[in-house]
Parts: sequence; structure tokens; C-alpha cells
Amino acid sequence: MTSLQPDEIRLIEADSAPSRFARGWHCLGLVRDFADGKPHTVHAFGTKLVVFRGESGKINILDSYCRHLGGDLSQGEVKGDEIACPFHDWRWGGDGRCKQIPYSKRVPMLARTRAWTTLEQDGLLFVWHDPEGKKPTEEVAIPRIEGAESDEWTDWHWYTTVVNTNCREIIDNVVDMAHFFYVHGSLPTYFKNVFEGHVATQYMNGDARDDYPAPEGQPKMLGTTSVASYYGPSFMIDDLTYHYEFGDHHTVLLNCHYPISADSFVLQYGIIVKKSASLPEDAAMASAIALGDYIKVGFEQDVEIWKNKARIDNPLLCEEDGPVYQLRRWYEQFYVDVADVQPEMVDRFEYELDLTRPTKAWHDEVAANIARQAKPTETAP
Amino acid sequence: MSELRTDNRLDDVPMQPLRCQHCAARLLVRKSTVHQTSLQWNAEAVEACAELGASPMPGPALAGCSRLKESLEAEVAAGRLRIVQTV
Repeated sequence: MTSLQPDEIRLIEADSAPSRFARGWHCLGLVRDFADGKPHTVHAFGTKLVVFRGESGKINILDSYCRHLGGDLSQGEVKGDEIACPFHDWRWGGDGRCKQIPYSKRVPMLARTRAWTTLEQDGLLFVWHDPEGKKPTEEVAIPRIEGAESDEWTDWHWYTTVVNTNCREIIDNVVDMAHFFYVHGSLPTYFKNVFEGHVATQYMNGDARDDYPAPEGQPKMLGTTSVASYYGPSFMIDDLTYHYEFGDHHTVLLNCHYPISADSFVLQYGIIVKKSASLPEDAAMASAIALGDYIKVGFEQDVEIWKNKARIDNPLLCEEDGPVYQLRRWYEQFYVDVADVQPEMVDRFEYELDLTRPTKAWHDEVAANIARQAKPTETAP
Repeated sequence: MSELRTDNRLDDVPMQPLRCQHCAARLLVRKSTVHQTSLQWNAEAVEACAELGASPMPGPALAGCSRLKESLEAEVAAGRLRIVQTV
């Protein structure tokens, strides 16, 4: 390593985003949005997929380009349990095999396309991606979500958007404590990360900011308690409780994405809210939608930063920043062959932040904002 | 894939070894302040730990071992574990 001279300028280092896509389960969205018996186009992992539910009721995912002459199956039609190509009506089953060619006596040898491993769970559709072509293991199974599809909780409130940057940016949020104040207007009071195996967890509590008054007619929010874990490279479950003057709202927030290309991804979130005596059906759904809108604003704030920022492999960190390098070391496990996963990528790492100094700085800033708000606005003479 | 770079904070003050008084797990530790701690475990250390070794996965990983605190405090008290930023 070269020694730094006091007047030396630090340069940003960045390799181009990887051309390989992460190994793991990726959520494509809600089952109900793919279950209408029509083919759906999904741009993912640098290619085009067709998602369709056939007669049997199972949702299938195949490469969308027909192995005959390259027609786009997602522009075709579901016929029985098969997807029919719009170009020459070749029929493909969910197992990837060509079942029949109506104008031919015999299906040729090797008439087999890529069938992707799927999972329907808790109202969500997942696809397994592995550059080595192996099946998912039990170890990396997506855990069940308590409350999903339960009468005691609302239905999923879902949101989807396309972001034109590499998906590492959203992963960095797991450890980026300070941006929750500066970008999202939160006030973190507790922050800890634990990485172990294929799971990366963020524990975060926050206070409400007194310089952001509650919207007219809404109860005053006091703070939040959140335990959010990525299970694999792209699917985060956040047990998120909002504390209000008159009680708690228990919610589950999903934050998930799948890559379209090296430089774009589909970002999605879903939210369910627990109903209670003080929060009956309609109020709980209204709360899910209101919280969803709030989270949407949060994502838009991130996107605004990502749109303009540089990719950086050598971030310069202060002691009050989170473990960015260690998170990226964890994330790297999904971009190498299973045989090349190193112990340090999966070994347990803990990082608990001391928020004394940030809290003081932010309380001072909030107090200054309140003082400014209290001052009568000067009007032009 | 990008070459993994090192945390600039560790260039200044690296992590140092620690042995837990309870279970003899050997790990690496770094303390930024009295209340800020990073811990690097390996598989062997997690297995040795009475609390983490018994933690079921998957699920949010257990936040930490409650017994390790004493060992950390003892190291600091004995002057063997440096705190990067003393307030």
C-alpha cells in the first residue's frame, strides 16, 4: 500500500457493474397479477421471460424467445397448459419442453427451452436465478411471512418502479445509517447490523421529527421500531412497527428487486398492516395505503440520489458510518460460484453504532428548523 | 467482479483478537467508542458461543451474545483494547 501524503487527493475508484447477476430467489411481484391466464413479459437477468398460468393452475416461467425462430412467447397465447408462440404456434409446457407443433407430425429432438424454478408463497411469485444452473437449497428458502394472507392482516399494498442504476445502490441502504436522516427525514436512535450466512439484518429504531408536523387530522407518530433482513441478494422482510400516541401499528414491509440489466432493476415494495380493535379492516387498509405512499416518497428520495451519484468501490468512511465494506463482502457471495464462496463472505459480522454524536447534531438541526418555522415570515414592503 | 477494497477506518485502527471469558470463542473486535463495537466471528467461534451456537437460522440473525459484554469491558479496563474515539 502506498502511504498517503497530506496533500494527496483521494480518487474515486469504480469497476463497471458486474455483467453477472446474483444467485438467489427474486420476487417478481404478486401472484394475483400473473394469474389471469394471459402471458406476461418480464425483463430480467439480461433477458426476456414469459410468465403464464396454465390450466393446471401453476405459474410457469420460461425464456420468452422461442427456440424455433426466436418468436416472443410473451406476445403469444396460453392454450391449455402450454404457451403458444405467436409466430408459428409452437406449444411449450411449463417444464420447458415443446409439447406439440400443430402443423408438424413430430417435435424435433432437443426441443427444450429454459424453464425457471418458481415459488408461490404468501401471495408472492418468486423466481430462482443461478448462473451455474443449480436448484435452490433448503438453506436459502424464503421464510414464511406471518400475517400474509391472514384475515387478521390487510392484503398486500404493492408498488413497482424501474430504477436506472445498478442494484448495489439499494443494498448499500442496509448499512447507511446517516442517509436516513439526510435523505428520508428520519431520526435514527438505534442502529445495528448483523451479517451471517445469506442473511443481512438491519436493526433500526427511530424517533419522529418535531420539525415535520403530522399531516392535518392524522395522529402524531412518535417513532418506529424495525428489524429488516435480506434473505439472499434481493428480498428483504422488514418487521416494522409505527408507534403512535394512541397505540402501535404493526406492519410488514417487503423491499425487493430484480435486475433487468447491469444498469437497471425493478424495485418493488409491499406492505401489510395488522388489524386491531383500534384499527379495524378499513382503517388498517387505509393505513397500509398511507404508509405505502410514505414509503414510495422514501424510494423516490433514494432514486433522486442514485440518478446523480457516482458508483464508488472505495467509499471514504467516518466512524459514524455503517459497515459498507463488510456488507459488500457479504453481497459478493451471490456473484461467485458456490464453490468460490469464501468463509469471510458468510462469517458472522456485527456492527453496532454509537448514535450519541449524530443524535446531538440532528437534534440541534431540528431545533434550528423549528426556530426558523416559528419566526414570522418576512413580507416584502 | 469488483476487487474488494479495505475499509479506510481499518487502515488506521485494525480489528484485534479477543477471547471470550465465558466460552473461549476467539473473535476480532474493534471499538470506535465505548458504545460502538464491531465483531468479526468465524464459524468456529459461533459454534463455541452458548447463545449464538444455539440460534436457529434462518430468520433475522440473533442481535448478539449477551455474555460477551463482560469480556469486552475487561479488555478495555485492562488497557488491551483501544477505543478509537474517546468523547
